[in-house]
Parts: sequence; structure tokens; C-alpha cells
Amino acid sequence: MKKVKIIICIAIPLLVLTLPLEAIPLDGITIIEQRVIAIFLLAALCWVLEPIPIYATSLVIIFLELLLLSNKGLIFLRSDDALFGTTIPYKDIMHTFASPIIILFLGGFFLAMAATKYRLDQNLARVLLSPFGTTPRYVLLGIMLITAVFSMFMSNTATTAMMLSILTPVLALFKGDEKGKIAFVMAIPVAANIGGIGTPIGTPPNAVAFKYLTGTDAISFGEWMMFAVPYVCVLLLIGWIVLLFIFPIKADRIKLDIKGSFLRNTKAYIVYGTFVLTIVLWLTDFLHGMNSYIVAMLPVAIFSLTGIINKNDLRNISWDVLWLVSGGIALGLALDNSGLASRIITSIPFESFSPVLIAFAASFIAALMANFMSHTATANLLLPLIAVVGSTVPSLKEIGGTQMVVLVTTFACSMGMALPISTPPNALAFGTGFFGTGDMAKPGVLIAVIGLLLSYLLVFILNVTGFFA
Amino acid sequence: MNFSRQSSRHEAIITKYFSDPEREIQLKAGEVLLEQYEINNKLFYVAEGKICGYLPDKHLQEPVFEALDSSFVGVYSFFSEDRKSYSKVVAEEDSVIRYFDDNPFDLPPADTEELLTFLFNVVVGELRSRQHFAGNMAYERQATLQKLIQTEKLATLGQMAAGLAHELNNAIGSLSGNLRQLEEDISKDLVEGEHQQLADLFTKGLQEGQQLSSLDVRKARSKWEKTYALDKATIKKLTKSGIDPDEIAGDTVKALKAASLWNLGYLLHDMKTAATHATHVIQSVKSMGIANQSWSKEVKVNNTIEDALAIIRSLTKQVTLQRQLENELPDITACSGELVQVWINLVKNAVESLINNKVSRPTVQISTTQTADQIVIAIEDNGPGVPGELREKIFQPSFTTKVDGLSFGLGLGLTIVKRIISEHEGDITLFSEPGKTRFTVYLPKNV
Amino acid sequence: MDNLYIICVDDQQEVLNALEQDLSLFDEKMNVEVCDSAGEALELMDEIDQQGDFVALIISDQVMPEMTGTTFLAAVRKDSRFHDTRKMLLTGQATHQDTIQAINTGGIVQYVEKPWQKDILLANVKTLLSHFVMTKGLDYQEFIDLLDQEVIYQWLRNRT
Repeated sequence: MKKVKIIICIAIPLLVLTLPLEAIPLDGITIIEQRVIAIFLLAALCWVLEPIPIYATSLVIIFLELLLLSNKGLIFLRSDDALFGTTIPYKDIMHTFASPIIILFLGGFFLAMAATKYRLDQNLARVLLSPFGTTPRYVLLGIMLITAVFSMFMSNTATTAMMLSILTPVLALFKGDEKGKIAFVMAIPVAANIGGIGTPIGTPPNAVAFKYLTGTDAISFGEWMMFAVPYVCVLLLIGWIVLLFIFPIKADRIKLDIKGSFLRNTKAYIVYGTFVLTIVLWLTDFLHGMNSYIVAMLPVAIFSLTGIINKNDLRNISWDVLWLVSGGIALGLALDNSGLASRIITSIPFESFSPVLIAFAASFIAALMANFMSHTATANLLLPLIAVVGSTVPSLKEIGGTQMVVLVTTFACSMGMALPISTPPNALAFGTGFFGTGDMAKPGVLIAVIGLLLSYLLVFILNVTGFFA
Repeated sequence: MNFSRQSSRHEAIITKYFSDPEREIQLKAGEVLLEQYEINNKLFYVAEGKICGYLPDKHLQEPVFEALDSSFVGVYSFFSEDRKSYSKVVAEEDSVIRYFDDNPFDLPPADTEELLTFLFNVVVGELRSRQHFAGNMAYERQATLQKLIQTEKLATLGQMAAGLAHELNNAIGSLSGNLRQLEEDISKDLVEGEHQQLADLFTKGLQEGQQLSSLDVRKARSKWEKTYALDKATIKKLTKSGIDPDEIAGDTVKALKAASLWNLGYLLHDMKTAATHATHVIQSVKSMGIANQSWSKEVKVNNTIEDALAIIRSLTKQVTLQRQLENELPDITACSGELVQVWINLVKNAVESLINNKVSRPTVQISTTQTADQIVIAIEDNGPGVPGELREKIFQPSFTTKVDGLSFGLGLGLTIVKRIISEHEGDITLFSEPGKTRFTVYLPKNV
Repeated sequence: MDNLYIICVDDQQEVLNALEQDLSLFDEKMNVEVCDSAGEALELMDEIDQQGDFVALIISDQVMPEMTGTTFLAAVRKDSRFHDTRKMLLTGQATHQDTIQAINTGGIVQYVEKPWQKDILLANVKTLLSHFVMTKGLDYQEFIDLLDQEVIYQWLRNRT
């Protein structure tokens, strides 16, 4: 099976690569663009079929781009011919490893790691959960809110792992046939996926989107949160109701026992302080002028120099996630710089489509893909193309342009949560063994559909209030 | 063969053939009826007393058969070819024997048949009872043999214990002797050469040891750390000594000296304690000793309890041990080593049942009291108790309620306890309910 | 400089003192603390953790009142704060059962019999400390003279 996948992943791009230019139905296509198509196909196939880990695909993309597209690639693969097209500077491709987006994410990782190491996450969970009492309905809401808040700053997977470890011992006490158990376990991946939308660093698709919102389309960290957080809150509430509706809770009491107390030593205080300071700086860029990328270096610097994050912790950083994003950025770079993206988009008569239909289609495809493959990979593949659509289709301008279409697509990337394979949080929840695939699909599909509709409402409001202008 | 069914016929035959006063032998206890291999033409009926058969040529002490009244002797030789008696037949008690020595075939045919039928029954009955007797003998012999092996083992263990005790006592004797000498020498040197206050610190360490608990030491340490810039080891020693930092008045050199002197004294103190402890354990093992099984009229029950507790100290650590020993107990006549074994067994049982059942706040209470003529020792635990159906069996051999095979190795169970106490003409009772199990031992006072 | 603690637990003071004496060389750069009960040790560990310091090694006796060594170590093992803490059982009287339990539930990595020999004890302590320092990613150079070089080499060989 794996062999077949590998053969498909190699054969199809190779076929495209060896086709004569004339065979490709795009007017004026260059050899470079042809190679980009091959690389894009390779990436898409590898990310969908996953014959190799998804981050490895990213590295392959970057390597192939350097080899086939860069100005310092293999000499006999280059040419000055007009048909050849323009090469991409190798530095630009390599820069994707340290792109500001990556640094933003690194800052997020540092914050999350320090918070976990100094047990800020667990202690916050304990304090934040207490107002929700012991009535299972409200405890469920509390758990969802906390999970969402944490996943805005920590990875969705780490948040899910932490919350499940708190929850499973309590759930084991539930009676065997109690459906409410499923509500609790499902609440966590749902809330983690939704919560990730809340900030640019909440989940990698957001970061990828951030990358394509440049120039006049740029959105600051604070602005993102300004519309994303209310969206998250509303969707969480709906998710809560949906879960309660599908899995009514019979138990009349639930008591979560989270042990511990806030650490009180110098390093712990530094962690608390830095955490608050970083977030405040992210939200107030209009006051101090530092953009979110630069602010992201603050926790990196402080935690490194105080030894709060040491060499050993550096090894625990999810480099694979960072490289996955890098590969996506590199892919976008190639699509953009080679001119292929605009060539494809202009060759499709988007003008004749209704702009609303374009937005619907983009987000629907994104949500569908995200259910079967990595959210980040989905964003990597779709967003470069969508961004070009946004900027080249004039009719879109009226309903929000690039920002609108990128946002609905990005939000849709986080709506892939109907299957255990959709996201690592789903897989973790499924791993508890409390329910079957069907129990996950029902709320997953329902909440995703509502989420999509809600995102249309959001961009509509944003458009009406003049945010996109 | 059921004789009782035919008892009236049986009696009739006895009366007919075995009642001739002419053919009656009176035997005193010990007199011989038949020598081994003697030719015998008679069939003997034991009317009264008890007859036994021996095999002198095999030098066996035990009889090979016993014949009580109303049974027959000489059956084998009477009916055999060579008519030789295979055993020596002796009267165990004063006995009256009647015999029959006619040839049965000389009788009238009806009588012959009657007699032969009867004798056939007798022969078969005889065979059965001898078989039974032989089986019993074999069983008893095996049991005796096992007892013997056990005793031999214990004796070997006892000898080993005695040997070990001797060797260890010598070694410890030399250690504690030298320790005493060292103590004196150092004290003398100090008093001559040093400041009195420092010499006192050495004595303090030597006599009192460490009075503070590890928690107290940690709490008190910060005061020393604030006052003196000394290394951690010295600070720890100074804190453990229990002296007040102000007494040294900020003098670092003096503090260093104080630390090392107190520590020196303290080390010697610890060594002395260890030596004393070792000596005590050895004494206790010896007194329990299988090595020391002698009886004495001046046994102090409380001492035997203390000895037992010293031996199993590491076991009883896991529970709270409460002693309520009456001081004014009179001495009793007992074998102290065996009593120590009794206490070890009972306390060990209690502790093990508490630990195995994971009882919270496990407690064992040992108390001694006296009545007018008895000393009463009670060993009580707060374990789950002995279930009713087991209470009867608990003193029987090979009965155990232990969950795992954990064994301390010295005791041999409640059976031994029971045996030892009956040897002391005492008694043991068990009271048990959930949360309270009490063994009470009653030992008679000297008359 | 990171603050590392070695905690010794035994109910007999003379044993604790002897241990403290033998381990005194570690006191220069680390901290050797003695506790006469498992309960006290747990409290102390809590305190150490609150200060942001590390419990690197626990050396515990088996036979103690209130809580046996195995129970104590099992409690420590369940505590995520002390996942990397190394554990050593030092005892003169542990049955076969106790030992199996100590390994399976207490997660001990070293078993030393009483009476111990100083050099063997020190070597074992150094090995365990080295593993702790390397697992935690602390600066091993600070403690290099108190660690087992072999273990350090092994760890460093696998790094870039």
C-alpha cells in the first residue's frame, strides 16, 4: 500500500515534469512554472496520501525548489532562454526557515513550554475551573472555555493532552452507559480546534494566513484577536449546546481534582511576567510600534537568558511543525514568484463567478480537505492560490477582497474535526476509547457546518463595519 | 467379617471349646507364653489381660502384635506346617489364657465343621487386625522420624546460633572495649588542652548524641547559616549539636572547632549505641535460643517479652507498638527461651495480619497483669480478626492464614505456641472480632 | 547555578548520619538532606519544588514505620513533578517480594544493601546523578567532578 502511494507521488509529478510545454493548457507557461506545477502536485499528493511524514514533504519541497527553481540550482537545469522563465533567488527559499511567521511561532512555543514547565497551565486550569462549580453542564462549559483559551497560545495537541490527563480519571468514575462521558471527551478536541482560531499563533494555518495578509491587507495580532476571539466564544457556546444536545449528561455532579499551587520562585515569576508582557505587547502594537514578530522574540530571549528554557528544552520544540509551515511558505513563494499562481487564476474565468460563491467554495474545499489531512498542509496548499484569487478577482473587493477570502478559508481549515484522523487532538480523544467514530462525526460535522456559516456572518459584519476597507 | 452378628454363636463356641478349667494358663505380667520359634500345638484364647508378640531376633522394641481379651493368639503357628511360633509371646498384663489342643478332625464331623467355620473367621479376623496394627505402627514410626529430624534441625540451628553469638560477642566486646578507651583518652586530652566549653561539647555529643530530629535540624539551620560563613557540612554539625549560635559568639574558628569536637563525641556515641544494640540482639537470640532450653524458677515474664521484641524490632517498626507491662510481676518457673518464642510468634502473627490486610493505623498492644495464681499476658491487634470457622482450627498444625510466603524464620506457628504453653501448664485463648483480635496467655505462678 | 538535592530517608538517625557523612562531598555543589520519615521527605520535596529546585536523587530505606520505602517511592513515581528523580533503595532487610514491588511500583533503579561500602555507594550515586542532570538538560560542567564521566560521554555521543 505504502509502495503504491510512493509510486503515485513520484510518477505523477515526474510525468508533468517531462511533458512538453505545449501539452499544458496554460498560455505562455515557462519551464520554471512547469516545475512549480510538478512540485505543487508532489506536495499535494504527499500531504494527502502521507507516504512520508508531512514535515518531510515540506523539506522535500524546499530542497526541490532549491534544486530546480533557484538561481544556484544545478547548472544544467538552468537556462537563459525566454521560455525558461525567471529563477528564484536561493536565499529567498532558504529564508522560509526563518521567516517572521516561524519566529512568531517559535515565540509561541517558548511561551507554551515555559508555562508547562512551571505548571502555569495546570494551575490556571485549576483556578479558572473553580467558578464553574460541580454541575456537569457548567463544568463542561468551563472545560471548553479553558481548553480554547489555552489552545490560543499553546499547540492544540499539547492543550488536549493536558486537559485529557485531568479529565480521564474523573470520567472513569462515570457509569458505563453514561453518554455524558462522550460529551466531556469530545468537548476537548472541539474546543482546542475552535480555540486555535483565536490568535495568529493559535494554530499553524493562522500563521500561514498571516503570511498572505501583507501590505495593505496586513492584520495585526490585536486586530486578529479582536474579531477571532468573539467568533471563538460564540462558536464555543454553540458547540457546548450541540454536545449537550447529542450527548445528554445524566450524572448530577462532577468534581475535577487538579492538584498543585502556583510556584513561587524567581524563575516562576519571570515566566508569569513574561507571559503577561508578551500578550500585552502583542495586543498594543499601535502604541509601541513593534510588530508581533518582533514581540515574539521577547519570550525567546528572556527564557533563554534566564535558563528557564535550557538546551534540553530546545530539543523538545516541535521543529516538525515549524518546518511544515516553512515548506508551505516556500511552496507559496514558488507559486507567487514564478507567476504560476496568477497565470492559473487568470486562466480560470473567476470574474464570471459570483464572489460569494467563490468564498463558499474556497471555505468548503478547505474544510473538506482539513478533515482528511493536516490542517496546516491544507492551508499550505490552498492559501497561496486563494490569496491570488483575492487580489486578482475585482468582484471580490466589494465583499472584503483578499482578507475576507483568506480568513474564511483559514477558519475553515480549523473546522476539520469530524474524524479521528482529522487532527492530533481528535486522535487523542478517540484514543480514550469512550466512543466510536460515529460519535465523533456527528458533533464534528454539525459544529463545522455551523462554524462555516458563522464565519460568513463574521466576514459580512466585518465588511459592513468597514474593517476590510 | 462381622463377629457381632454371630456373637451368640461365637459365645457358644467359646463356651464349648475354650472353657475347660484343665486347659487354662494363668500368666503374670512379663511371663512368656511362647518363646520365638517354639513348637506350638495350641490355639490360645485370651480370656482376660493383654498379650503381645515381639521379635527378639530383630532387636525391635515395639511389639508386632497385641491381643486384648476375647481375641486369639497362636493362630499362625497352630495352623502352619512347621508349627513354629514366629514371635515371642509375652503377657503384658496379668492374663488368663484358655487353649484348645485337639486335632479338630478327631471331633465328630458336625463339630469339626462348626469349629472349622469358626476358626476360619478367627483367622481372617486375625489377619485383618494384624494388618491394621502394622499400618498404624508404620505411620507412627514415620511421624516420630519427622519429629526427630525437626528436633535435629533445631538443635543444629541452636548450635550455630550459640557459635555465632560467641564469635559476635567477642568481636563486639573488643570494639566496645576499645571505644571506652578511646573515649577516656580523648576526654583526658581535651580537659588538659582545650577550653572547658569545647570539652563540654565533646562530652555533650558523647553522652546525649543527637537530640534533634532531622526536621528540627533543617529548621534550625538557617540561624547558623546567617551567623557564620561556614561550609555546609560544618553548619549541619553545629545545628545537630543543639547548641545556640550565640554561645560561640560569632567566632568562626571556635565554631569550626566546636563542630568537629561535638561530632567526634557524637560519632563515639553512635558507635556505642550500635554496639549495645548488637549485644542486646545477640543476647535475645541466645535467650530465645534453641541454644538455651533450660528451665528456671526465676523467669521474669516481662524480660522475655522485651527480648522477643528486640529480636523482631524491624518487623514491629511497621506498626504502633504499645506496651503495658505490670512492674510487680513475680518470677515464674519456665523455660525463658521457649516463652520468647511464644511472644515472637504471637506478635509476628499480629503484625503480619495487620500489614497483609493493609489496616490503617496498625496497632499491636502487649500487656501483662496478674491474678491470684496466674500471670496473664495479652497480645491484641486491631486487624480484621479471625473468621469464626477458623478460630477452632487456628492452633492445629499446618494451619496458616498468611497471604504470601513471607516468613521470619524463627517461629513455627501457633501449634508450637500451644505446645509450649501446655508444657508450662498454662492456657491460651483467642478472642476475635473485626477490629480486635486478642490472644490471652495464662501462666501459673510458682506455688 | 541549579540547585540539586539528594534526599536520604531512614528512620534510624545513626544510619542517616552515616549516610550524610559518606555523601558529604556532594554537599559542596549540591544539597544532601536527611529525613527520618517518608512523610517528612514528601513535605521537603514539595518545598524544594516550590523553590524551583530539583530533587535529583532519593535514597530510601525499606523498613520504616508509617510508610515503607516501596510505598513512598511509588507515591513519588506517580507525581509528575518528580518524574526524572532517580530512586535508590538502601536496605538490610527486604524480602524478594519487597524488591520486586520496589522495582515494579516504586521505579527504583538501584538497590544497595546495608551495610553499604562507601565507594560503591558513591559510584552508584554519581551514576544516578549523571543521568538526572543529563535528562533534565542541566549544565553538567558545573557538577562534572561529582558525576560519572562514562554516563556523560554516553549522553553526549548521541547529541549534535
